[in-house]
Amino acid sequence: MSKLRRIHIIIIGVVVCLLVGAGLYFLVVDKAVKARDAALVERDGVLGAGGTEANCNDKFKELQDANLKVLEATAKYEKTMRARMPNISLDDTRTGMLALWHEQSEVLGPLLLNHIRSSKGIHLLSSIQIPNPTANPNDLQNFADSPIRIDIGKVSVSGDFKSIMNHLRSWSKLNRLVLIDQPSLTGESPNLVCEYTLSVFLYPMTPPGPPIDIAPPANSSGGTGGMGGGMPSGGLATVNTGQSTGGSPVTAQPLH
Amino acid sequence: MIKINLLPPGIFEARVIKRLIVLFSFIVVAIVAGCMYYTSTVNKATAGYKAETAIATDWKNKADAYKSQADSKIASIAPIDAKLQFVAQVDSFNNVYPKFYENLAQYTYHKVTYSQIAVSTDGKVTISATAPSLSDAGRYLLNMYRATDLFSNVSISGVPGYPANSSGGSLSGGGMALNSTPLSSATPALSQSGGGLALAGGQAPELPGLSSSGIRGGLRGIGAVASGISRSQAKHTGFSFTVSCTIKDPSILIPPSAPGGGSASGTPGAAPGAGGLSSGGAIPLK
Repeated sequence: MSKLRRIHIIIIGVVVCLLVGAGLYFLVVDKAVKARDAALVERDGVLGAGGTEANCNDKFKELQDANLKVLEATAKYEKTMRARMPNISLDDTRTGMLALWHEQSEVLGPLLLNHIRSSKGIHLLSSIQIPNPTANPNDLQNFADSPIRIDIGKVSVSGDFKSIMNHLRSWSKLNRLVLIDQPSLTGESPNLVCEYTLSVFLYPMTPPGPPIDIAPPANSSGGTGGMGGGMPSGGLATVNTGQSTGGSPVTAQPLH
Repeated sequence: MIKINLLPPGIFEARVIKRLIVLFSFIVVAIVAGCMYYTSTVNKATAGYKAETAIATDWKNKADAYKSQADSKIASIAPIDAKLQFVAQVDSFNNVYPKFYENLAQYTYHKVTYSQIAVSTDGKVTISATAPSLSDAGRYLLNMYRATDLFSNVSISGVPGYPANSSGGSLSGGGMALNSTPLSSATPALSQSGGGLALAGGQAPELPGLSSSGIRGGLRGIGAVASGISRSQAKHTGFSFTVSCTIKDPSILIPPSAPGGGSASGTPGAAPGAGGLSSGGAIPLK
């Protein structure tokens, strides 16, 4: 000790201070600072990702809006379905198919005819042909969210210009969803002839149920096709028109 | 007075060293205490941040749960929305052609008689018309040129040269000479039996630059259809011509497509109009 001079003590003291300071910094302070920075970054990240009360309230409001939207859409959908679609439920595709038979064979044709007949100043010049409905319930499997499209084909009506325009517009008021396309006008008013294509879209009330096991036809070469085509038109069209058709197309008198 | 220290420097060295040791000891203690204090401060902040993170995470979880529920609700009505949208599109589309014909009537000169209008899906409009004179046809054409909101292109064919029957135009004396130019392939023409389709306007149209009231003031062309028609027979003394126009926005003529692709009944996936089930016999009603 006696050999240590002042300068030695100063050097030793400074070195010790530096060592202690550096040791504490790297062993204690730096770890704490890093932990604090990590916690800060994590907090900012969560806040940035929407971890705020305001955001939570916004999302809750969105949920309420979504609930309201669901209610509105559902109500509008049910109203539209009641107003524009037949009651065809495909829970059981067999009964659904029968309902579709009634629609296509008995309901739709007279509905379209009556609509044209009730259009003021309009005369129907052509016949309306409804395609045969399917005789295979499994054909309805594809109509979960897509509509059943029934192409009526060309329809010709006559009338004056205003009546025809009103008639074309009036299809949107029918209690079926009808699409008219490519109307062309010929002739001389008030006997203009308007020809247009007509398609009907039917949305089933419920999505189709599971497929039905169907016994294979005895003769697999074309047996199914014959049944699918002939049976509905022969049987159900007779009910509609009151004529015995035996499966041949029914042609009634023009409605004017 | 002069003070002279005659003692050697080493006399006080031990005392100075002791003081230095004490000084450095205090410095070391101060360093340690400062570090500890700073560390504790940092740790407090860290704990605060972690607490805030926990709260924020709770809010975030709640917000995510609400959002998930909302998305689920919205997704659940997507098919319904698609159906409703399709219904609305169909209803809207049913109004496209009547609106187009009515707009066309607004631009139609009242002395011109139409015999046929055909609109193809690509927006081509072919009009077969008859005018009593060249001047009337000119006025009609100038009027059609003004329909810039309706057509992007208007052309006329069948204007006669001299002599009239050598130029393609068909002048007629008594009866009406309908131009039998093939019309739109997408909309086959019905058989012509003479006569004109009158969409004529009820008032004489103003020529470009002379318009004051504006031709779009109302559907006066439609309102005057009846009177235009009553005169149509008398006007069958002119020449017939064909006007070809291109609708400004042909996309309005594209019918809406059903969600999921609606197909003919019983023939899922069949092209529209294929009539897959008609092979077994359709049900014609008249």
